[in-house]
Amino acid sequence: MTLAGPPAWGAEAPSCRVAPETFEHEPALSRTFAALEAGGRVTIVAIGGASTLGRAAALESQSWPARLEQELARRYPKATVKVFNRGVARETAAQMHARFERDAFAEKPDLVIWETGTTDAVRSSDVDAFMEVLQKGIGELAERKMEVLLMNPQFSRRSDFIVNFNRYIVTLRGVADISEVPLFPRHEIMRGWAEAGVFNFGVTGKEQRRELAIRVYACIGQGVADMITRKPAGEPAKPSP
Amino acid sequence: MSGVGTVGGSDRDLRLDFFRGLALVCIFIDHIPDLRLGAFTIQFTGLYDAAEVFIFISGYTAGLVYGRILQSEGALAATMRIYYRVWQLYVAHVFLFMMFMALVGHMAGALANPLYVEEFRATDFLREPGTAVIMALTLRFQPAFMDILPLYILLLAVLPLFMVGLRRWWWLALLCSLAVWFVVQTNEGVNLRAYPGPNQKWFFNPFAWQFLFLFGAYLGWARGMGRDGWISNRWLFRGALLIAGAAFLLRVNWTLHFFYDPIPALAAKQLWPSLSKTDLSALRLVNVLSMALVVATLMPRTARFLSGKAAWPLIVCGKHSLHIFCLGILLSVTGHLILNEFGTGAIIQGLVAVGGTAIMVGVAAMMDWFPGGKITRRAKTRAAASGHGGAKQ
Repeated sequence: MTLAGPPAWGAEAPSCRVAPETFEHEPALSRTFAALEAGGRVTIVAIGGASTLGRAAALESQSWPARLEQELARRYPKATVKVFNRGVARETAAQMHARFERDAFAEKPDLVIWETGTTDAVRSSDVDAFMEVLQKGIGELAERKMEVLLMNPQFSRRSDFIVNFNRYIVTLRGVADISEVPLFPRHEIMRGWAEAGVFNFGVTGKEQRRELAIRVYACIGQGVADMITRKPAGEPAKPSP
Repeated sequence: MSGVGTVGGSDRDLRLDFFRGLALVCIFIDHIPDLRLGAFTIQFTGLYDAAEVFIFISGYTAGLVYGRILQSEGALAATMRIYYRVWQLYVAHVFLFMMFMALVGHMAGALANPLYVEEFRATDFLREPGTAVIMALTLRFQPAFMDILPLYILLLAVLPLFMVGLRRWWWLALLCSLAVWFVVQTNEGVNLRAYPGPNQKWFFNPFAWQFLFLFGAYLGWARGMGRDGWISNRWLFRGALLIAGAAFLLRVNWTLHFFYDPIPALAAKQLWPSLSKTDLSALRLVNVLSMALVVATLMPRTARFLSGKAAWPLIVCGKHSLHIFCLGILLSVTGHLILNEFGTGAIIQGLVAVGGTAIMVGVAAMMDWFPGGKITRRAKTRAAASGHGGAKQ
């Protein structure tokens, strides 16, 4: 099972489209969506780890935040969209939270996308402390009227025998639920791609792996764009508990 | 339900084996992340999960068994027996660690994947197996599924002291245990350090979990001494029923929410922060003890169900809990591997769950039938009667 040639990103795009039902019950990002529709300035900050930084793809313009920016700009040509990539490899949620002031608040963003959980799982951080810092960070962003989108760890077929990701993925889901913020279920989406054969995450060649990273990041960026630009179907689907 | 038991095989409280067996099967299923069935294991019945049930019953059984030995053979004999068990658990822990390192060796290629390689550099410490081995031997390294045995080892190690305390001033021993649990609840960060630091702690905080285990040991000891009459108090039962019932309904509501999001999860926002598993929060503790009382009252030890065929598979697993626990951990890893390689469809999920459980029951049944190479009393008698057994010496 090897990749059949190096297909262009555009040609592959439809197959990795995330089903709209995936986000059906996630709370809407209505202010960011309204700002995009209005065609004004829209600032997004992506705080995360190595997969946000996108080093596996070699160029920063191939990371998912860059792809998100390209995608939103394409869909809303009138809006001025800027996505800041604030990925730093191997940081726990607490370390990311510590640089909120400098990396996120300073840009006065409409939306902060917080990709986290991987390093906490690798280092098996205290789950309760992980939950607390997530809630604290979400609270601080809400205070500043910034919207939040959480993103969970990547799917990796084999590494989760060595690292217990599940605990942190469940915690992220729970925190998103009780804080009523949306979660981009990257882990489940990537697992879906692996199962449907959209991507073969097991490729071994150096060049093939880089191509894989480029394409996966493009699809993630597109998925996040889909999630942000959902048409608000009446009221937010989620009733408050 | 109370009263001094008679010595002998018929005295065995099959409820302990049954529910411990059930907990073991649930731990196997809960450890496979993508198994939907996980929502319907023991955790479906309240705010606790199989870990609490396993630790509580293990404490109860230990209190019952070693309490009697303490009474008849003295403190030294009881301590020796307990430490023999600690040794067995320790060997099992080391065995699981070996399996883990083998897995790491096998999966090393997966960690080199560029999508993850940057993130996984944090697992670099695994390239220093020497340190990892030392950390595992000193119970500080507790990867993926290796966190409950270190807890169990530590709890059993302090049991002799607690048992001796029980015999002199049972209330003081209990109070000390409760006080330590309380300190954990009111002070952040009271826990043992884990590897690779710097802020890593034990997933099962032993200072908190000791209370559930030792309280169970106290109850088992009291039952052995015929001092647990107070448990059949009617008002105590009513209170427990109320708590367990309310928690059950709440949990059903949460499970419905999990499967169908528009159903609101009642009180989730308020309760979530006070459901710490690491620190065994008060809600979890009270809930699991209430449920234990309700179940023990509604299902007497003479219940016909326990001697029937339906209960047998779980009872036989519970009887050989240590071996079946280790087997369950290995089966979880295997099941996880299968789901990841062949997809998470309903049929595969069913096969993994049913197959794994069948293997656990099968191995337990085999152990029951073949007593580990030891010569049984009956075989000895038979050998002595025929005259061959003795002649060979």
